[in-house]
Amino acid sequence: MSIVRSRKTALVILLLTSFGLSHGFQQRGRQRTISGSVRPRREIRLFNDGHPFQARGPRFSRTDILVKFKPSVRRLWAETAISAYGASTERIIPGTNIYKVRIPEGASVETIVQVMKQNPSIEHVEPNYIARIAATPNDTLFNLQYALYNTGQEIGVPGSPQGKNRADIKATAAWEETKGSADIVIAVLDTGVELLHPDIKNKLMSAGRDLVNDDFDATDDNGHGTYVAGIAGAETNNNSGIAGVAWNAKILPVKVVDKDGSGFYDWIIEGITWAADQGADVINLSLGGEDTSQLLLEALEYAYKKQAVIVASAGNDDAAVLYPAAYDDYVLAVSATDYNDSRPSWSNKGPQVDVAAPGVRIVSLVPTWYFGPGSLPYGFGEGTSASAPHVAGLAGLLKGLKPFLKVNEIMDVIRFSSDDVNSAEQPGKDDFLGYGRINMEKALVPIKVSK
Amino acid sequence: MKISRLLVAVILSVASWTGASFGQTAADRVALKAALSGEYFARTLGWDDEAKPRTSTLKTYLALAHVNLQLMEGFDIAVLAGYASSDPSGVSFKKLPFSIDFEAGAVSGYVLGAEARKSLFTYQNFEISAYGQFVVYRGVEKSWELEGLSVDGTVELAPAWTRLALGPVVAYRRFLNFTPYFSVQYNRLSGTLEMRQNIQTLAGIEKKAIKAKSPVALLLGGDYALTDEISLGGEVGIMPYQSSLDTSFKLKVQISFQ
Repeated sequence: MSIVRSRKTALVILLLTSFGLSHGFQQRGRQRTISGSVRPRREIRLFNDGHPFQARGPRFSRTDILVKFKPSVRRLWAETAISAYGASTERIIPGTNIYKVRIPEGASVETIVQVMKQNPSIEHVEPNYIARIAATPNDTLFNLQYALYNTGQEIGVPGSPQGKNRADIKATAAWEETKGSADIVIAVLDTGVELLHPDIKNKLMSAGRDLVNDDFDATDDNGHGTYVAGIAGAETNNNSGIAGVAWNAKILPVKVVDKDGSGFYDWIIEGITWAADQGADVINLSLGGEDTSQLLLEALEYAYKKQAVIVASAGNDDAAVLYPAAYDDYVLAVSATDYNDSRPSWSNKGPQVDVAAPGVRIVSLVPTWYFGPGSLPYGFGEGTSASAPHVAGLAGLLKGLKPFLKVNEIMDVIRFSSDDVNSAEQPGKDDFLGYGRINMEKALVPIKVSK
Repeated sequence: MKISRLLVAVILSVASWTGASFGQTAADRVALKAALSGEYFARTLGWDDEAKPRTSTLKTYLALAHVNLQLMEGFDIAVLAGYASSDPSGVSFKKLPFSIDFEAGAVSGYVLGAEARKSLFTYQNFEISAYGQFVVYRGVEKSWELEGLSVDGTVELAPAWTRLALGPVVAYRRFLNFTPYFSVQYNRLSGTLEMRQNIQTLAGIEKKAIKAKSPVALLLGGDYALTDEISLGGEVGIMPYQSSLDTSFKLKVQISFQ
């Protein structure tokens, strides 16, 4: 028994070590260098005098509207019709049949739009809406979160790689539809979470469960769990730090891996079962091993039947998908993409891969003790450990928005809404990125069915 | 369907109320008329979106054939059948796996209905009648491909609505060939939009109840007799809703067979 136990321990160590040594922030020397670079960010000046770019003021022009006539309507007739409403044509948008119309003085936009909608010659009429930067949170490091909104910015200090514009998961557009529900709980089964981290302490459901030390204080003594939890659910729009994918969801920390990055399967099995019993809507497992386990499979089945969406990292060895991610029936297996929507060479592959999410140079929380006094408690890391919580966050938003969906339906929505970003080389579902890189906008925002 | 039964009951009641005179004077008074009408209306619809009331506009073209039986002087009943093109664009469906904003335009369908008109009394040149109409629209299910997903998928829409119009008609009968009229109607339009979604293993159905916001129509129209057998009619209607107005337009050609 002890032999089996030590073997399983070794497997989990292997995975977390690979997150850390090859790609993660456990390589403290390297990360301290990055931290040293992060420190000057204290002096980053704020756009908009530190105020968030939020939807303020009128949503549309009070003086003009946009009118599209049917293609068969000639310009003279269109302008005559506009005049009949006491309105006047300001201009026709070039290349379209859309008239910008100034409404009569004293008339309300709502009324004249409603009246014009009755006109059978008019194909469409609407207020002249005012666009703003979409639901951009005011978290000061948000500009580093290319995974959520990629403008092609430098990812990190000056001289860092630049991403490809819109190689991201479209978080800002999705947040226009929903910022999630505080009733949704994302359990992070990992090394714990720093419970007093300023950018997540208000998002924690409780102090969680520590199965390593068998108590109810899942304090992080490694750093990996805090980092993973931050991606899924850091406090958002709080004027500091980063934004979490699931803006309003709660995080339930469950410590199933010790400070050295090793965890027995029994801790993981119990953690999954405990999280499901606590009502976790989503379970994130940024961990894995090479060995199968019937008991682990049964724990996953138990949580699945309790309607928990289970998300797991595929692994970082350019090898086969690890367990539990490889349990295809119950788990969404997540591989990695980078800031160009390309697959990093280390991301694991196999038919079990469902979707991909950014996992290269991902900024997130680190425990306040990690880099020491005076440093910001944030750092860059990479690996499918970073990819999985992006998907877990999306699952949390979906469960909040559509509580009537069953867990398999949520998994399918995430799969089918993904962008097939490697379609040039691997059209359709493939072993590298599955259905593709997740797209929160497609998953959450209504699809327009038009002519 | 309860409404349709109610309407049939009303028609039968009126018919039985006037039944005696039918028998006595049928030979003189029974007449058959046929008419074709074209109608357009735009009605502001109310519907629920996650408990938040929303509105959109239902634009509809109707082409109807009327077979009208004048059972006695001043009392007509008719059956209606025809085609409609009804556009419910602007409605959102959020109880499906993937939410849908429907902007795809009109769905064709068939229309069946009945109407009755009974002259109640005349005062100087004014004739006061009671009018009722009930029509049922059933759209032929139409399908659209869902674009932008990583797999193929479709949505199908099956719209259906009913309209009940009841109210007095005041006609001015002083002119020889032209009869203008005015009517105030209770005009209720309600129905359902059933959206189905099929994306590989994902399937969902959402049935959304819709109802026109304005229950009252004010109608102004006129009939012009071209000959003893042929007449033309036109009608415009407004249906006030809060600070807005819904509208309707109708043209009708009628042929009488004595």
